[in-house]
Amino acid sequence: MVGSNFVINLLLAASLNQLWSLMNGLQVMSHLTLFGIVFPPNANVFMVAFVTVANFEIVPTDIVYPLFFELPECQAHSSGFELTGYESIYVSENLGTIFVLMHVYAILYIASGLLFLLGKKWNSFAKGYQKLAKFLFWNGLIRFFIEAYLELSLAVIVNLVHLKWDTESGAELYSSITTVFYSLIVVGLPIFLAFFYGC
Amino acid sequence: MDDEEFESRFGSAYEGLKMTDEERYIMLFDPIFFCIRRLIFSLTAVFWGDYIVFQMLALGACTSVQLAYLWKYEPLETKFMNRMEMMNEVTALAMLYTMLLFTPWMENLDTRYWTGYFFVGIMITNISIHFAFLLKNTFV
Repeated sequence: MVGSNFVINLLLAASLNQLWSLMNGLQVMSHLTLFGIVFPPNANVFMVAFVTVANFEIVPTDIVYPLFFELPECQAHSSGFELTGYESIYVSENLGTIFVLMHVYAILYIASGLLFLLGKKWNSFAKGYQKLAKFLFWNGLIRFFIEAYLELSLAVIVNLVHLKWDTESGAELYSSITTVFYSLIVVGLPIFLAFFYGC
Repeated sequence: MDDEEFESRFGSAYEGLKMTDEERYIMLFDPIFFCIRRLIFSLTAVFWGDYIVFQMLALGACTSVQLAYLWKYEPLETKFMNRMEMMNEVTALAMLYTMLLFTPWMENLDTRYWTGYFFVGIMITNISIHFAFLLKNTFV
């Protein structure tokens, strides 16, 4: 308990640039298990533990998701993917916490749109919109996409390979739709950054 | 980009980078290559699962390019952060070279097993250095 409090305090007080540097390094290193190589068991155990940290797995999505989605049973894209925590072919399951955060962002953007419209008539809604807009536009979202880019691109490419439109499962169809939408983000982010710096 | 309002909205896209006018286009490479490199990593992981050599070559090439770029241009604002990024790249390369001993060409299981400890050691060293500097810069 004391140890976890200390780590949380350290993370809150530390320089963000240093934290991103640590996370970025950790992301690449922990995803080396995706390569078609059989790791010795001692290295395996360690790598799997670090994948959870590098992938921002904060929400226990394995327990939460079955309450909302009923995706068909499937196997991982390969044994390396299974080992690295990408146990499904569906973007919703593979993204885990990031998928939840994406939806939280989407809901907040819809709410900000409503507050903006209501704010035109009632001043108190306009104040609420300004507070929400300060959080939403755009710093947090850009950093979120940059840090989640590796996991996002992996989950999207895997789902694109196994994309299904003629299905009776609503959850599977929803996964396909979100895959197409997220693939626009995966392709669009480097283009956005190039234009952003170029202008 | 010097505008405060602009920075409060989009600052995270170029946080920590040198953003002087002369160097802006060179600095452009860093965040773009950050994404492209991860995209290459994902594509090779998904489509080249059976071609270990190509996977390793792709990651090795990307890491080497990034290391050379960091070495030549030092794109980050502080020398310290440039050094930390270089350490990350060197660590990734060291792990990649160590992984050669996990390939089917290394038939001695004992060697593979003990190399596993070395592999984990490289990763722990990297993380420990990061945490040591995090502690130093936060509390000292």
